[in-house]
Amino acid sequence: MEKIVLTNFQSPGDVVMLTAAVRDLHKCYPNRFVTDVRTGSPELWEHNPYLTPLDPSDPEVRVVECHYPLIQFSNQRPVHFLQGFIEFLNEQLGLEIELTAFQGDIHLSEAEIMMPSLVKEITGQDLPFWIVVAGGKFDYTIKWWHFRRWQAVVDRLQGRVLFVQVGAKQHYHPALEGALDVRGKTTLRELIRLVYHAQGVLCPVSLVMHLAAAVECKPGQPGRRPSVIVAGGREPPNWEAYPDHHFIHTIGMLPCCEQGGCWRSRSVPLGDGDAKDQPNQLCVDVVANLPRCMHLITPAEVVQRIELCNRDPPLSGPSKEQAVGLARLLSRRPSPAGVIKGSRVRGVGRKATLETKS
Amino acid sequence: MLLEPQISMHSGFDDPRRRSGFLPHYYPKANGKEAPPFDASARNDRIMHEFLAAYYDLNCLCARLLEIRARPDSPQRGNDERECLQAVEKALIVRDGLEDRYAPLGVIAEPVVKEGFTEDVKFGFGNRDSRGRPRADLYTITAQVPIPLPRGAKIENFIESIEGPEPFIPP
Repeated sequence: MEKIVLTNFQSPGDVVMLTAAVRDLHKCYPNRFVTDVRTGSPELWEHNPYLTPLDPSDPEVRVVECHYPLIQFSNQRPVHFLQGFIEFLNEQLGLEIELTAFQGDIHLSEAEIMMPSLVKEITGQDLPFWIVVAGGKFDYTIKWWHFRRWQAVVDRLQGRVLFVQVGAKQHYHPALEGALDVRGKTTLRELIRLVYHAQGVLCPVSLVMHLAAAVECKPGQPGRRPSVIVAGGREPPNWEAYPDHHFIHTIGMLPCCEQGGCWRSRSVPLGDGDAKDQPNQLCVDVVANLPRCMHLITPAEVVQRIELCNRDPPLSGPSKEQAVGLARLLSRRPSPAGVIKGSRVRGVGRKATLETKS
Repeated sequence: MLLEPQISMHSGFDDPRRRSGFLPHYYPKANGKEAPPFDASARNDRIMHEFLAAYYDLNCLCARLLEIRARPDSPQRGNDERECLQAVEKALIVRDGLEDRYAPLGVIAEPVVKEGFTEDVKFGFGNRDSRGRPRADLYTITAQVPIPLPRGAKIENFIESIEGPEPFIPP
């Protein structure tokens, strides 16, 4: 059998796509290859049945640095990201691998499946929840939706959906009030477990979006995990969207994305020395500090999509008794000027009256 | 190359530390330290100035509110309290406006509040990591890699030339 080590050190979301390529290499060519990988996200490969430890320095081992040039045709051809590495391997290895499942390939062990969810560990209760990602990495700030809009969604579904906010400590993730805050508190493997237990996912185009599709669902839950993705006009839906996700895009609605995804990087320059601050990488239509495509997506639309995901049975958040115990655990923004419970402020969806305590 | 951000700084910014009657104990710290000097010109420092000024104003209003509420109940007290609360609301709108303006730059300014007073503001910026280094800087990483030679072999037998610092060759 041919021995190959596949390497890729891109973001974890990209590596989830590589898991699909490895799966389908073996499904389409059983017993022909022995494969191992070297990536920046080894936790994505734990318990993967298609990997065998190989030494890249072994002269019998072929090392293949993996890319996905197919992305260059994402606006012209009806292709998905999952096919990116597959097509590359087909060219490199002279094969005809085909995508066998519309998802990445993430595996949990029996022990991981039996472990209680992080929500249960924190709250003491096995509560249903949605994961929310309200920010992102600094390389592609054009993918950020305004944090007040994420907040507005959380506010409008308060009492009906328990949101658990995740996000890497070193990235941009403003705190959301009323959510269970686990930002910076999960390893990648713990995040995968959290996705396993999640009823649904609300996020931008991100690693969590790919995990929502790739991670199996708990027994007793629907076969696919409801997900609402705030996408805008950067990436074409054929490239990123999973068939059962509510992928909210604006392709074709604006001149800058009328032919497909704009693939630009940032809303405004960050001044960090990155080439993504160059004018040809910047959004051409920023309004109210948002790319216009993201500005067009309203919290009301996102709320409606979440509600549509959960019509039968309908959304049912924590019971009143559960909510009482939960309230003290949910993120609350400290109140400057102390006694103010809420404030009538600008910002989408914020609508609390000014209250005082004497 | 560092480009100037497209988001304009607030023009005509009034640093409270320059005002007469400035109350330094109401001026919060920044990331646990003293705020940048008021003549600091770096963009992130000026953003910090704006947020700290907003929280300073909120702290002063909080003190004012507590002082009003300490008075005996009266129609005048009610009017003064209402006016103060309206001023607080406006100050919160200013604070929220700063958050909105600088959100695309990845600016997070989280107040550390004690008994209604902001004592410190924890800042995060899109162009700097937690240690203040530019995020996109190339870093030099060095590593020591010991390569054992076969017994009796000499390094001169394997390497014709070495670039860089002289290697450590054990006797």
